[in-house]
Amino acid sequence: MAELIFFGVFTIILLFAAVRVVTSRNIVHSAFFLILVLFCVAAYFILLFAEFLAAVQILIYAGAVVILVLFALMLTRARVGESTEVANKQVIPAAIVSLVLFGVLGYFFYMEEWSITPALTYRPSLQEISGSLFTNFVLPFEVASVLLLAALVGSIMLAIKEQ
Amino acid sequence: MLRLEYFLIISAALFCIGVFGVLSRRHVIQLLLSIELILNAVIINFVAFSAFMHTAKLTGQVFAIFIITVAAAEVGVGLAIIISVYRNLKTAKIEDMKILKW
Repeated sequence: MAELIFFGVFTIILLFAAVRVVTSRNIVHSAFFLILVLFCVAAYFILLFAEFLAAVQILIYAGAVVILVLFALMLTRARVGESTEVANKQVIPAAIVSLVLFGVLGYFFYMEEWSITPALTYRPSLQEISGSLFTNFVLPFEVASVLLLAALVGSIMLAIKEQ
Repeated sequence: MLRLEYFLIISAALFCIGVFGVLSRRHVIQLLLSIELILNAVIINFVAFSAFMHTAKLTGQVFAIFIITVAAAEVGVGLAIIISVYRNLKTAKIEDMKILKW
């Protein structure tokens, strides 16, 4: 019962913050509402017994990614409270498309008979996650590290000032 | 009692909000923020399935870690491109970036 209450509270905060991310006139406010969204997603992970992922989510997403976005905002001089027209001409078609998409997705998610265990009982330990990561998925792990290196070199090359 | 459908429907809602943001915003950085919303919806789905369909390999959680890695790389490269474009075109609005159009 307590999980349901927590789930409801975090869902309300999550949906409000997500809507504000895409509707607020000030981009700095969008970035801060994105932090709120990321914290609510981390709360979902705790409800789903994935505490390590919750820590990773807060450290990497809320800690690093949003700070990077704020840096880029400062470098591109988005003036605070300035932009009066943030939406382009296709707001109404975009709203219709996303509402129809949500209707279809929600209907099928609700009607599908999922072959699942009925209740959340099993709590995986951190040893199991790391064991799986370093035995079954060791090749994707190495590829991910190479990808991070390539992204690092690429972003420095793109952002550096030419002499 | 939490059910799988709750998480799936909330993540569908988050995904659709992100799609709305990608389709309707003008500033490039807001597009990146909307893409982050979409990626988070996907991560919620992976972790929910991993929790409700227990397998020995914990594939859902491991893939969530990979998605977070790729999202970090994507934001880094995307912001570098935005800064480079801003330096050349002096704009960050998506409809001004049309010099590849004819």
